[in-house]
Amino acid sequence: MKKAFDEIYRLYVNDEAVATKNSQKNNTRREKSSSRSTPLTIEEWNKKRKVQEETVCQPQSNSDAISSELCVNLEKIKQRFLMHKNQGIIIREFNIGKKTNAFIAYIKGMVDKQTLNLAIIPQLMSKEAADENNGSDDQCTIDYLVKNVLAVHNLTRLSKFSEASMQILRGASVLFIEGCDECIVFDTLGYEKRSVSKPVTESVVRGPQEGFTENLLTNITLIRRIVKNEKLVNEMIPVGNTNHSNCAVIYLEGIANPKVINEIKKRIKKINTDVIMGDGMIEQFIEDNSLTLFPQILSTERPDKAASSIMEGQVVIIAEGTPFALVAPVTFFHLFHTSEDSQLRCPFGTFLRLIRLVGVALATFLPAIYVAVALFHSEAIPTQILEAIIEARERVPFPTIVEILLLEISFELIREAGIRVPTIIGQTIGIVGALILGQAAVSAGIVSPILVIIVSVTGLGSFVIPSYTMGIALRILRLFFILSAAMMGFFGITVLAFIVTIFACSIKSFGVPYFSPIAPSTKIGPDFLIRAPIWMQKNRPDEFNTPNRKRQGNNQKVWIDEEQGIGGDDSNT
Amino acid sequence: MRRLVIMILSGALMISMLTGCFGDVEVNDWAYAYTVGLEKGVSNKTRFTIQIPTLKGEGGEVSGESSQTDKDGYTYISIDAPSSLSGANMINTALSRKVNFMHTKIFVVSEDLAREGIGEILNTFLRFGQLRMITQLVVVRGSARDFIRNNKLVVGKSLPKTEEDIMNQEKNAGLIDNIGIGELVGQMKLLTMQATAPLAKLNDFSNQEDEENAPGELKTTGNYYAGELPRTGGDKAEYIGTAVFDGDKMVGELSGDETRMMLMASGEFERAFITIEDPIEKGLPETFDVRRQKPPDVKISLKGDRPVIDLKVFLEGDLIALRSSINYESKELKPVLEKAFEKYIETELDKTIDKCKRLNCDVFAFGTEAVKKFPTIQEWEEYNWISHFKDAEVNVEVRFIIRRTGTVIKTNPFKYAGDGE
Amino acid sequence: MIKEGKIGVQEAVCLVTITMGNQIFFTAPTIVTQHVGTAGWYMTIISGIVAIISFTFIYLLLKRFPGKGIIEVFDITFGRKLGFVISFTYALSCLVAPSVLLREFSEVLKVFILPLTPISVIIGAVIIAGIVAAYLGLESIARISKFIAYIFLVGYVAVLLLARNEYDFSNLFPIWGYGIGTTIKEGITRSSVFSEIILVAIFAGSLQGTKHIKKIGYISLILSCLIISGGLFCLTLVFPYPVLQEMTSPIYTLARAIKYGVFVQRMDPLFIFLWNITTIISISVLFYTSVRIFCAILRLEDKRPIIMPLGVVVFSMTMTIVDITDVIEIYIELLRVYALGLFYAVPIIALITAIIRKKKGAEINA
Repeated sequence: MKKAFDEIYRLYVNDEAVATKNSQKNNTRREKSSSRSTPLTIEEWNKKRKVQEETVCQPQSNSDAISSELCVNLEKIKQRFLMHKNQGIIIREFNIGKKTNAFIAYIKGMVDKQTLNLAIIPQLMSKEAADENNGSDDQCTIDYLVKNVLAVHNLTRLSKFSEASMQILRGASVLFIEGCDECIVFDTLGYEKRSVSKPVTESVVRGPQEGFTENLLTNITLIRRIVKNEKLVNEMIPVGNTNHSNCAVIYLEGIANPKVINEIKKRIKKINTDVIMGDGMIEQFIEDNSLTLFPQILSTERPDKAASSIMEGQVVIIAEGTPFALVAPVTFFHLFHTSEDSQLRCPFGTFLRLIRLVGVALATFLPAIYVAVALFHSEAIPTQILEAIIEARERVPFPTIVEILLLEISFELIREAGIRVPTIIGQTIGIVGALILGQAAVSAGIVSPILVIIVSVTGLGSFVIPSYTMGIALRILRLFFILSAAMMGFFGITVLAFIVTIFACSIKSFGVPYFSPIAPSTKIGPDFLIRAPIWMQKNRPDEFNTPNRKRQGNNQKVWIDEEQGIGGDDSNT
Repeated sequence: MRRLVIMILSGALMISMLTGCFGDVEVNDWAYAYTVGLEKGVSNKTRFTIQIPTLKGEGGEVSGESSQTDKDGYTYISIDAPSSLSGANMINTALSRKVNFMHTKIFVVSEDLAREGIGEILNTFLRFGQLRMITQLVVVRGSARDFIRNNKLVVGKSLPKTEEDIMNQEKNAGLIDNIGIGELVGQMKLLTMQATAPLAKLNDFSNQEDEENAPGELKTTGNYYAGELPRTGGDKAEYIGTAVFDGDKMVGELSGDETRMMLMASGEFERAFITIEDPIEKGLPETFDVRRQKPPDVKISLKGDRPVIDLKVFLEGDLIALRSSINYESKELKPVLEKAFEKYIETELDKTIDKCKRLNCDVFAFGTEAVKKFPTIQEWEEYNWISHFKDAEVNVEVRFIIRRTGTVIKTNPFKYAGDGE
Repeated sequence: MIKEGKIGVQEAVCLVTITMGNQIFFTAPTIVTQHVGTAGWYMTIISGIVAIISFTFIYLLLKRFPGKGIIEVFDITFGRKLGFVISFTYALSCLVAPSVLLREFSEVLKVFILPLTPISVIIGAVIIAGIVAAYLGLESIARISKFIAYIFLVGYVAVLLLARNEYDFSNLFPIWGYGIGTTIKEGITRSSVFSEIILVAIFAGSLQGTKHIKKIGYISLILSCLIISGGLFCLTLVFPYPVLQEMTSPIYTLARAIKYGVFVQRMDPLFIFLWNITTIISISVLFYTSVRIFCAILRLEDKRPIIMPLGVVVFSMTMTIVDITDVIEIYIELLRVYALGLFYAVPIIALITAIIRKKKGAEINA
C-alpha cells in the first residue's frame, strides 16, 4: 500500500514540478512513467478510491488546462493535493443559484473565513446568481458571475491547473464552475502573521520604529508607504522549485542602474534549488564572491533603510519568510551607515560615524595589536603602561596568545549563548557570565586584568557595527589578525591587512567595486565618512552609477538668496 | 573523507610551521633595565649595572640582602665584564630574564669613564637598536653602581616615570640640560657644537650642617655642583649641573647656574626662579620667575679666523618674592631692578662663556649660527669651528622685562615702633 | 596578452607614487646625504626635473603608439629579436628590483623591529603577499594603492610634522652641501630614483589613453619628488648631516625620536604600519610588472602559471644576497646606475629609432 502511494505521490510531484515549466513536454514523460509503473499501482489505488467515492470522474488527459467538466476538475484537485490523506485542503461543493454545480477549493487556515462566508458563498448560492439570460448548462456563466454577482474586490481568472493550485497554496480560494474551462481565484489570503513590530537587530533612537515582518506583501507595503512613487517597481520572481517561494525585486525606475537591475533579476531567476527559506539563502545564491569574508549585500530589518537605499539607486530584494530585506549593490563603507545618520543633524551624524569607525578599528585590531606589542614590540608603548602589563601578567601561567584566545573564545561563547538562551534570562546570562567569568578568571590568576579590558572593549567595538554580517566578518578577521600578530607582530598584521584589503579591493558587488568611491576613486559624496549637512547632499552616491544623479536642488540657498534680495535663482528640479 | 584528512594534516603542518616561535618574547621574559650604569671595572674592564623591577607586586615578600632588594620594587645587579653587552649576558647567570634596554630611562656613566671617552660605548648601544635615542645620559660623580643602588623611589610608585620626570625639570628649573642620548652622540660628531650631559651625584645629606660651606655673600640657587646641595630628605640621587664634552671625552663641569646660562645662550631655557642680590639693599635676595621671551639673537662675524659673537638674550619674568620693602613696582624703580637683573645675567653669562672658552668647548651651539657663513661643507670642515671657539670674542647683551608683579602692585614698607623717630 | 583591466588616473598616480616615494623609508636618504651632505633635499628636485625630462621622451614614444605598452613598442621599433632582449632585461630588472628592495626592507625590519625573527620568514610573508597581489592583478593592486595612499600621505606627513620639536634650521647649513657642482652631478645620476616611472610606460595599455599617461607621469613624478624632497628636508632639519650619514633608516629613527612628554612618545607603530604596507605594495607592483613583462615577451595568455615560479625566483634571489652592506653598496648602487641607462636612455633610443624607421602605431580611439 504504502509503496504504491509513494509511487503516486512521486508522480504527482514530478508532474507538478514540471507543469509549471513546460506542460507539453511533460505529458509524454508522465504517460511513459505511469505506464511503466501501472500494473499494481493503479489497481490498488482505484480500489481505494472506489471506497471513498461513488462517482468516478477519471481525468481524461494530463493536460494542464482546466476542464469544462466539473467532476474532472474536482478529481484533478483531489489528486493534486493528495486528498485521500492530506487533511488541509477543503473542497466545498455547492450550486450556483441553485442551478450550476460548482465547488470552491482552499486550504484550511490560510483563507479569511469571513470573506468566504459573508461575501462569496452566500452570493453565489443566492437565487440571483443564476444567469437569467443563459439557460443552457453547457454555457459558462463565468463572465456573468464576475460582472454581476461576485462583490469581491480582487479576483482573477485562470485557465491552468498549475496556476490555480499555486493560488490555493498561496491562500487564495479557487472557484470551479461546471461547464467553464476557467476558474475564479479570490484573493482571500487570511492566514496568521506577525504584526509589524520594532526591529530587533537594528534599533535606532531617532527614526522610524517599525521593522519588516515575515510576510512579503506586508514588507512591500512598508516600503511603498515610504516611497510613494509610481515609478517604484516591484517585480515578483518565483524562487524555490519545491516550496514555491516568492521574492520581490524593488527599485525605482529611472534611478536604479538598469544594468544592476537586470543582473540581479538574472541571478535570482537562475537560482535552481528546491527551497528558499528567506533572504539569507538568496544572498548566498546571488552574491559575487562567496569565499570572501566581507558581505557584498546589505541585509536590513528596517523599511526606512531599504527605502532610502532605493532612493539612492540601489535595488532591494525581499524574500518570503524572513523579516529582512537585501540591498544591493553595496560598498564596504555603506555597511557602516545607519538610517539614523540621515535623521540626525550633520555634527551628530558625523560624530556617530566616527565613533563607529573607532569601534570598527578597535574590534578588528585591538587584540592583535596587544598581542603584537606584548610579544614583539614592548618598546612601542609608554613605559608605565608596560609596567602595568608586566605586573598584570606576572601571575598568569599562559602565554599571551593562549590567554587572549581563551578570553576571545569565552567572549564569543557568551555572545552566542546570549542569543540562544530564552530572552528573559538571556541578558542576565550575558552580563552575569561576562562579569563573573572575567572577575573569577582574573582573581584566579588565569588571565590578566588588562586583557579582560581589551577583550571587553573589543566586544563593545564590534557591537557598534550596524551590519550584523559585517560584524561576524570582522570577528572572524580579528582571530586571524591575532594569529598573524602572534607570528610576526606588527609586520604580520600588516601583511595580513594587505592581503585582506587587496582581496576586498578585488571583489565587486553587482559590478560596483567594493571599496569605491575610494578605490577605484570616483567622486566622494558628502555622505561618505563625514556626513555633510543634508542640503549639501545634492547628488546620489556616484559609485552606484545611477542614471539620474541629482537628488535635490539648492535648498537653503534659495531662501537665503531671497532674504538677501539677490533674487531667487530657483533651479530646482 | 580523504580530503578532510589531507586538510587536517596540512592544517597541522601549517600550524606547526607558522605559529609561535618567530622571535616572540613574552613581556615577562624580559628584564627591563630602567637604569643602566657603566663605569670602569675593578676585576674586569667594565662594571655594568642595571636596575630592574622585582615585580613582587603589592604584598611581595622582600627576601635576601636588604641592600639588594628594595621595598620599592626595584633592584640592581652589577657585574664586572669585558664589555657592557657581554655583561648583560653574564647577568643572566643569576637572572632568569633577558636584559632589555628598550625602556631604559637613564644611562648612567661614571665621571672617570666619561673623561676617558664614552663615544664607542654609546655607539655600541645605539647600534644594538634596543636603546632608544630619547634615553637620557647622565654623568655621575663617583661610582655608577652606588648611584643606581641608591636611586630609590621616594615619591611615587613608578621608577621610570620618576626618572623621566626628573629630567623634565629642565623646563621648570633649568638646572640640568635634558638631552637624549641620540642627540648627544650626534653632538659629539658635530663641528657646530660640543656635547653636554646632565651631571648627577649622590648627596650624603651632610652639606646642610656643613658650616665651612656657609658663604659670606649670597649664594644663588644654582651655584652648586651635583652632590653639594645643602639638602636632607628626598632621593639621594641629585641631578644638577652639566658635564661638558669635547668629542666624546668629558672635559669639565658646569654648575647649576652655569647650566642655566648655557641654556639661555643656546635658546633652550624655558623658565626658572632666579634669585639675585637686591641692587639697593645689598644682601637681600630677590626672586624672579624668569622665562624666555624669544630665542636669543646670535650674530657672528669673522675677523680673519677669529670669530666675533654678539649674543643678545631676551628674557621676561614676574616678581615673585621681594625681600626688601622697596616699592620696585613703581615705574621709576622697576628699571633699576631690571637693570640689576640684566647685569647679573650678563656677568654670569660672561663667566660661563669664559669658562667654556677655557675648556675649549662651544656648548652654546654658536656654531649653528656660524655654519651659515660657510657655503659648502668642505669649507666648513676645513675651518673647524670648535677649534676656533676659544679665540672667540663674545659680546653679551641681556634684555629683561618684568611683566607682572604678582598679586601686589605696590609694596608698602613694614612699620616698626621705632619708625619716624 | 593577459587581461589587465583599466585603471584610472588617480589609482595609477598612487601606484607609481607609492613605489617611488617608498624609497625614502630606507637607506636612500642616508646615501644621498653621504654624497651631497645638506643639499639632498634640493638635489632631489634636480633629479625630479631630469626624470620629468626623461619621461617626456618616454611619453613622446608612447604617443606614437597609442594604446600600447612600452614592451609592445619595443617589439615594433627594435624588431622582435632586439625587442625581446630589451624586454627581457626589463623583466629581469623588475625581478631584481623587488628582491633588492625586499632584502633591504627585511634587513632594516630585522634590525629595528623583529631582531629575533628569521629573515626567511619575513621575506616569505612578503612574497606570499606579492603572489596574492599578482594573482588578483593590476586592478586590485592599483585600488589598494589608492586606498593606502591616503593613509600613507597622512601618516607620513604626521611623522614628519610630529618631529617638529626636533627641527633645527641651522642643520640646513652649509646650504650648498659639498658644492653646487657635486649636487648637480649627483642630482643627474641619482635621477634614477624615479626610474619606477617606467611602470607608467609598461602599463600604458591599461591606462585610459595617451592624454592620461602624460598626466599620470607628471603628477606622480612631482608628487614623489615632493615626498622624497620633503622627507629629506625634514630629516636634514632634524639630524645634522654627520649623523644622517650614518643611519640605517633615518625616517624610522625620526619616528623613534618623536617625544612629547612622558606619554606621547614611541610613535614607531604608526610608522611601522605605514612603512610595511607601502613596501609590500611596491614589491607587489614590481613583482607583478615582471610577471606582466614575461607574459608579454613569452606571448602567454594566462599569467597564473608563471606567478608561483617567479615568486620562488624572487625569494631565492632575495635569500642569495649575503648581507646589508651588499644590499646598500653593490645592488642598490648598481641598480641605480643601470636603471638610468635602461629606463631613461633605451626609450629615447627607441623613440629615435621609431622616428627614423617611421614606425607609428595605429590610431585607436582611446
